[in-house]
Amino acid sequence: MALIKYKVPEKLIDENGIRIDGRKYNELRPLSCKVGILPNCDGSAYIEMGGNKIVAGVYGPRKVQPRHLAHPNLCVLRALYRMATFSVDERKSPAPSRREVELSGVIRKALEPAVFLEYYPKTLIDITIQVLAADGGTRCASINAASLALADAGVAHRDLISAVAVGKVDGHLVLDLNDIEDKEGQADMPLAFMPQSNKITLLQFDGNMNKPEFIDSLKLGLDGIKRIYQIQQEALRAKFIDIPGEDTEEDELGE
Amino acid sequence: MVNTTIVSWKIEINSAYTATLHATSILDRSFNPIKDDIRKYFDIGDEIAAEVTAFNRTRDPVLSVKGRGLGKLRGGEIIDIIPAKVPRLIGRKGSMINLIKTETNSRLIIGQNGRVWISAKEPKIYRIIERIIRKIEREAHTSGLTDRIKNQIQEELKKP
Amino acid sequence: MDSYKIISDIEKSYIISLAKNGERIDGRGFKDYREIIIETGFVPKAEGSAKVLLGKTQIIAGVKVAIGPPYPDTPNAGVITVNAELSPMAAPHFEAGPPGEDSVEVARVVDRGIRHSDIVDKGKLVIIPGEQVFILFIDLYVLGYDGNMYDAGEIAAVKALCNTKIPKVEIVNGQIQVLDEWSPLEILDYPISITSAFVGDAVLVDPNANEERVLESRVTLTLNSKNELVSAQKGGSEAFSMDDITKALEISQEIAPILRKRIQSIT
Repeated sequence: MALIKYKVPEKLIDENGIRIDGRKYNELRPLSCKVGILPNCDGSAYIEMGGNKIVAGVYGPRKVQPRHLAHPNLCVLRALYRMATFSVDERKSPAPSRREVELSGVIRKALEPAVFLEYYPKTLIDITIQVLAADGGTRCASINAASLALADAGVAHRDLISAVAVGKVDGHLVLDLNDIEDKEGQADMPLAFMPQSNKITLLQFDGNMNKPEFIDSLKLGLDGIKRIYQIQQEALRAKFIDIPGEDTEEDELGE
Repeated sequence: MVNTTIVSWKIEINSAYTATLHATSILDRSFNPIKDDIRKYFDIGDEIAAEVTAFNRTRDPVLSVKGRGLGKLRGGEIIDIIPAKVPRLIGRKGSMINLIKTETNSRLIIGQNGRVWISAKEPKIYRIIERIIRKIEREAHTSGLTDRIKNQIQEELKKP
Repeated sequence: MDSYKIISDIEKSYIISLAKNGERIDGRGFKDYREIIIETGFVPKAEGSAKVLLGKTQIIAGVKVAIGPPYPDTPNAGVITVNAELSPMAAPHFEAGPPGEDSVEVARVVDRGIRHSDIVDKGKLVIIPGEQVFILFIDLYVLGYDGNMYDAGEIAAVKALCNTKIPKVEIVNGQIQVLDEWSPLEILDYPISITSAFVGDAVLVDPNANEERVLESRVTLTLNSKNELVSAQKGGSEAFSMDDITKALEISQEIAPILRKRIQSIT
């Protein structure tokens, strides 16, 4: 049992359309990403999305072990989603829960369409995701981090994958649910897209919505995702640091 | 070398695929498993410089040690760099690697798989070369790198 | 990965020949610890937390405070329990799955250092004697491996405890009420663990991953602030002599106070 129970607020969105954390319906939580933060992984990324703090690490393409997982023509992706015991209000048991197993599969399937699996036959790419702090929308934040880690590892891909959860609170559609909106709201729809082609790679839905709300939610989600995509790309660009005192002309060897 | 069969060695080449080196590639006559013990030539734990002679979608890489500069590596140190940075470490027509070799009076062999074998005269030189290689890795995308590296090597050599 | 177990001859002889000359692969002295970076309190839902970088080894420790029954054999003491998880992202040869020998070893070594240094007065963690006590769960996550998870883990666990707050409790009609008033856990000592590896006559502290792979003769010694030995654990698969361990203890007693000061001054 959690030590202190949080009080559920009466209203999740007030008459001015302001949510409990001060945001408007279409505002993202603060988001920051950094790549290359782990010493041994081929690729890695750290993300803070609202109160979520998540690390993703990628190894691969690497040998397939156990051998029976190998595919003769394609690379196999394997994702492992784990939450730290201290990432939530009440200590989570260290043993993997069914939810973690489900989300590992969901995340993997969200990332697969972007990777050129046929470039790396008979190999394996391992994606490990560790949630250090959870604040609603961990699977989306994990996908954002994992996609960056794959890019950081130099895995050939069509596009990044960007993800966000859209929901409904007090009858209003809102973008990027926080923890309380996730738990107490009327609908929760995690979404992931390949932003260049607007193709959906993750769609889950729990709650209650009619058709116009559903379509509007997709549009709201895609709008948020374009913004997330920009931030992800910035993180990749930041890998290539500027060197002080760098010449602007080529040196004698044309390098 | 990580494993052997009676007539070949299994080799880790820092890739998703394990490579094979056949005994016949190092012996001119055909290999006789009854008389010859493969581990006399290369044993588990040895490191070699080799060439990939065959690799496609249906077979794992096959190596050969026939060729100048190939074969067992003795002494020295091996460090790993990101394979994508290998061309930068070599430089155009070998300009960067030759710079390092002559300025430090050491031997270097760079594998396309990112493994670099260094043989230097003293520990201090190894560390200078390691630092230089890490710098090249980080700054591979910038211009004027060759000159900066030359300056850095010369300055570091002056220190005790 | 099976091939991780195979040590390259070049790697092994390089490390050993350097050691004969008083040197190490990364240029450190035999008694030098790598750079230590510490960040505390960055996990908001944990009651205490610390992130430690020891060289490139990266460990995050989180403390969760719960209320529950004490251990049957110590009814008037709170509970502190340490758990460690070696994430597959930490090193290519770390596999996913239930805790193996290695992760249990890290947890147990850190646990014993904390337990026997009496860093926390467990008597003060009692709420209803014999029935309800505070339970402190210290969970360590290794996210990056470059050797010496033991010392890094100890630093992280101790820092996380120093950073931990426990709530005020009141007993009303036999029921425990937890109030939203928090105060820092009282820290009475500061254990430091020093891991040493033996090569020839030399003793190297804080082995990195390459040194750990090649030098299978190791020991972790934990000392309290009075420089008394509170726990010891032999690691690795090779034997060492009585001279070796005596030297290691002397060196550990020499280094521990300096290292303790260094760590305490970081945050």
